[in-house]
Amino acid sequence: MGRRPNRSRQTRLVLAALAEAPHRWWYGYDLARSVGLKSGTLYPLLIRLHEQGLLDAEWRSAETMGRPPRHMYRLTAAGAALARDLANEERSWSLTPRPAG
Amino acid sequence: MSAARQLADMIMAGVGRLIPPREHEWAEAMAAEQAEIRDHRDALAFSAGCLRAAGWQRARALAPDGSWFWPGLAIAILLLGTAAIPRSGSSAFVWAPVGGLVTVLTLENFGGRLSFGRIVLLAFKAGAMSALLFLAVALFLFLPEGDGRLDPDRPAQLRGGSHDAVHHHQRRRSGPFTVQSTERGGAPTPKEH
Repeated sequence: MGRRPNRSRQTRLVLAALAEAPHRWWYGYDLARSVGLKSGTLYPLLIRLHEQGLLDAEWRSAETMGRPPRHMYRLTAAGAALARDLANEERSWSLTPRPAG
Repeated sequence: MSAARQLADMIMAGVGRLIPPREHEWAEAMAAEQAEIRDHRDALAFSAGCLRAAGWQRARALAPDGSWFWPGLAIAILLLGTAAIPRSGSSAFVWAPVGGLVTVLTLENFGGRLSFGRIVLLAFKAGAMSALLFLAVALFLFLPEGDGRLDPDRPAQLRGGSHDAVHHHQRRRSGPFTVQSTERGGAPTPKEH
């Protein structure tokens, strides 16, 4: 049986962070710090989400003069829907009574 | 510019070369982020992570549908080893991937927290550990079976003499006995240990 896509802990963390403010654009470094992931874990994940159409990516000119433009990210509608589904899934897990013992 | 920042920039240049061409935009995105990080050691750790990400993406590109991921990774390691052969011989197949991975993980995990000298020391220690591990595996795989002492009953021809009398000598163990046989020496002679 294959693994279900986008169900890893890291993916859930990133989707949850992005879904908190769906219209906000995030820098990669800020996102990495916010969710506590290293760049080596975050970027493959962002690339995959972007390929799947779950993440919007856009170049924006840097705030500081003379700096290169920066890549920014936010969820697409499909990404936001997936984030909601995952959040609901987690909520239902946490509400499911566990057998005593 | 500090040594950590210089190294971080060098690593980012490597990221640009390692990442698959169709994802080059992402290497530029990583480089732009790295340039924004003020702390040089944080930038170094970030760059090391980007190098790992680029290697990961390269391995994935060799296996677009996922089914060839691990073979793809093996091929990538093989290519890396082959590239390093002129410098370090055939052991490069082991050293290049192990050394590369150890260095990248050390930088990524400790680059932002430790001094540059300490990082070098850690990488050196990690390298020494992997060298010992490699040696242990090599000894386990290639050491001949047995205690290595010369068998007093072994034919003289095999102890440095000529090979005209006996062409082939076989030694195999069977329970408490060692069975010796020669090609034209008739039946094997059991000998108690």
